[in-house]
Amino acid sequence: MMNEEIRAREERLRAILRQGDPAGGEAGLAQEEVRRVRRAVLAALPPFGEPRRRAFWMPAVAMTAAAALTLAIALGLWRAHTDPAGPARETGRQAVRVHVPPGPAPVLREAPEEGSPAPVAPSRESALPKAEAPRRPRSRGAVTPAAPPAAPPSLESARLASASEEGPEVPAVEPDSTLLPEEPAMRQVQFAAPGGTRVLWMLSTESVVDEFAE
Amino acid sequence: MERTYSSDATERLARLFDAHQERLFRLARRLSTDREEALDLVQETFLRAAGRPGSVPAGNSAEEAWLVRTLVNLVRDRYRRLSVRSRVHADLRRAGHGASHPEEAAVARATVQAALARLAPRRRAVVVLHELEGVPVSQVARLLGVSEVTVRWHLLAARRELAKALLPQPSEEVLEERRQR
Repeated sequence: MMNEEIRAREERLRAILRQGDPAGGEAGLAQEEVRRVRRAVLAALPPFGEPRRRAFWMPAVAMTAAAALTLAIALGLWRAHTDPAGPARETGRQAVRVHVPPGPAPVLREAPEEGSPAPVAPSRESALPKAEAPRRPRSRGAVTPAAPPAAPPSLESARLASASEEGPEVPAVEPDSTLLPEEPAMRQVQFAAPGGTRVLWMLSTESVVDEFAE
Repeated sequence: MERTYSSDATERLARLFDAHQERLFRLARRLSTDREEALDLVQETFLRAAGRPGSVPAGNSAEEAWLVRTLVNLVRDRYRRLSVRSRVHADLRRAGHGASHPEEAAVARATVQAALARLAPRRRAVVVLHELEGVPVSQVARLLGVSEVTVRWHLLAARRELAKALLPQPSEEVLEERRQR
């Protein structure tokens, strides 16, 4: 009897639910709605498959790109070392880039010349001209313009003059042209800044300054 | 190969949509509060299928089960996002508004919808599938991916809750008489 009552109650509840079914009296989706949703769903399909499948080739592409980049860098470095024009630039002139804080007026003096046209050796450094002056900031591109190799005194004068133009405290040094050798020679001019920075200029008649003018 | 994959997936998804959109919309309409929400749910369900076509199992019944589960999960997500309190208040207001409607059908629909909205999403899905769509318990269990015992337990609890909201409660005298029996 109790079961019948419960069953009757369930049937009544079911009837009420079906009578008030939210989708009971309504029509389904309209054709336009179906088309719109269908279009949106099909457009959302990933073109290259699922992300899991994409993950297969993405690391391979990344590895290949990394290997190619490494190879390119290694090749570039190797070519830079084996390039015959590379070391020639270095021998022409040794430029030192320093940063000198503003200090007292520099004193530039030229050391007595030995007069020997022999190549520079470490033992000769003490006998080479020496000057003490604060270094002006130099950039790598600020290189002495090209000059004919046959006139080394004028090259040095121009260089020293240009140095004195930028820093008015630096007096220009007029080298004695009679002491300069006629054969290809190398001269050094050293500067010592108050901060202890030493700048070494190596002037050679054989230097290929035309390359720097590029 | 890429073209083949894309073509196959598009065809399969189109077939999936054509085969199940109507039934899914009906279920969504019964699980949601209005038509627009039902449409959103259907679209979201198929978008899930489009995002992971490989996760949709093959076979008509397996596809249907996957889609129903996804839809019910989406309803659950929405239900969790909304505050239960505000939802119940809104449903009661809607029911009160429906009660003033002259047509009885509209009153009954609003009342039932308010009562269904109080149920938790999975319980509501069980009631809708079994009571409104007439799906057997074993089939409901398969569709929702739960055991039959769970389905029966949800049905029992849902009937109690719905009876409180929809059926007239027995008077104190009747209750006393039952106790004496």
